[in-house]
Amino acid sequence: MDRTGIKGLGSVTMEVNHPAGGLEPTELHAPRVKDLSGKTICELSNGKWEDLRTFASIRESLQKRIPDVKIIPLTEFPVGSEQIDKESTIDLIVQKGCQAVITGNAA
Amino acid sequence: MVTREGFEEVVNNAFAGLGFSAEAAKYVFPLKMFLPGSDLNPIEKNIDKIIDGLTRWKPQEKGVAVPSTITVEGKDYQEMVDTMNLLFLKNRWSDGLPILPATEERVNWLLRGTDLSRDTIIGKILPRGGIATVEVIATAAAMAGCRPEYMPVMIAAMEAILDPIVYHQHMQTSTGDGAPAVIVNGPVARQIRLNSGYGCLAPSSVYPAGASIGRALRFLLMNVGGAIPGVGSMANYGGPARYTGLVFAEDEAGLPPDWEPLHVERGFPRASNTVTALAISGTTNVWEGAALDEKEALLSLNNFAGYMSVPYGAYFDAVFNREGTPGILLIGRTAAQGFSNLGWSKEKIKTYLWENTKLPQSEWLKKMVETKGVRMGLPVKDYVQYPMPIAASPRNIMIVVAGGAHSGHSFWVQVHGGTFGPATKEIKLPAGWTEHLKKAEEDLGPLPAF
Repeated sequence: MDRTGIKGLGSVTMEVNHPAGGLEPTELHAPRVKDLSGKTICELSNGKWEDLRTFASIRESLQKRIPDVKIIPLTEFPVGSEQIDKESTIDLIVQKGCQAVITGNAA
Repeated sequence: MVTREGFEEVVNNAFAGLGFSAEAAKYVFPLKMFLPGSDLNPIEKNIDKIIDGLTRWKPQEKGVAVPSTITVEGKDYQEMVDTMNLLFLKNRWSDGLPILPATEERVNWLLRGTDLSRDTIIGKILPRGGIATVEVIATAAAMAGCRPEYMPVMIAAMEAILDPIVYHQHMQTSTGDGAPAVIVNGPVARQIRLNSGYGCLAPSSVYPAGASIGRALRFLLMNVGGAIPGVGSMANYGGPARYTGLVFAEDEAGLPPDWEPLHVERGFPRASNTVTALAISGTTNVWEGAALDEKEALLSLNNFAGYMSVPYGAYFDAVFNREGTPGILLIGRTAAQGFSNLGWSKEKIKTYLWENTKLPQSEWLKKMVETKGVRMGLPVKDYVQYPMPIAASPRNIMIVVAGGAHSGHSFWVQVHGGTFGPATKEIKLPAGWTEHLKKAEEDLGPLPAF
């Protein structure tokens, strides 16, 4: 097998394939809402890392900032990484009229 | 998305793996904020960033991103290879060992080992979602020092690992230490010099295929799939099996006549060439395995059961998962023949082990099983009884004949938690297969006797 490069004749170059392969985004992230006033936000949690505390704090901070935002807490949805990944959870989000979703928690 | 420091690239990988552009709307908080009794002030202080993520953040457009080739320079070949290796280390594309350059020439040489076109897509490797084409597989194979005759096994192994039942994304990202076990059946195993005997899970100059195929798979899982330690993979230890996986062949010549090879058990014709992949975690040498008489056989079986019944997290999946396996028990040919001579078929051994590895109820076990059941949305009381078996049924325990001829030791390979089971794929050989084997014989000498 030939080796690329010639000894003693100065700088030589070699090209190698990139090891990472291509990436093909096939989905678009959901467009954002213009603002949160009067909107409904849903919470989806993996059930870990003190989620009841952190989501409650986010909820409280949002409501302080935007008094007419409606937030449906994580307890009204399935909890856990496998559960929130299901189509039935997405259906529930749509059914409850969520216009934005905050997911977490920490992982 | 609300995430923590040190997890951002995991999140990016996950979005990329789902088909979105990697950069998603997320806010990263310090890890300590997510611990019990923590100060949650950072949330209020940064609430505007969360609001921005829901309102002003702009998603990127769709489009394919294929990285170009990499150019390295040096005063001579040696310096170029050294430079390339340093570059790969800095970019986290390396496993820490020297890598061969995946030049166009070397990759094209490897591509002769398959009749599939270089653009054929085998699948997306999660969590990153990088696309594994045949050329990308050949690139990893080049880096690892593979030969063209390994390519059919490499491709089938990748297909098996990406089968939904293996659920490779858990093996890739978990805090547990998962790696692929790849078991080859059929004549191809010996043809490519894949070990089924002494040292079959260890390095070998006589049987070099296992190490380089396994290493190439690791490059794919890491670089294409994004399972980089601490970034895409959160495995606490990773484990030695991550260097080259466990890539070996079943010792079909050493099977007792009444014991079927693994691929036949899994529904494939005896003469076919197959790969079976499973996400595994720990490996344990079991000191015993002889079966010269019934007393010794029972001692060995009870010893196996002792190792297999150490309570292990992945077993909880087995209760809820009808197809899952607790792991692979490797038994050498002499011990296998001994068991068979005494009337112990594979099925009888599996039933004995299933009965004698049941786990007694404990607070820890109860908590683990119930948490899993709740997470899966399953009625725990309908699934779990104590003592709890480590598999849904005896047939789910995998037994493979492999290893050295003497019977003093066996080997237990534990399943990785989160997988749903093994997958078996047929290996497709290229039209010019015998030419590759002739070249291998020229390069490496005649096939070893055992």
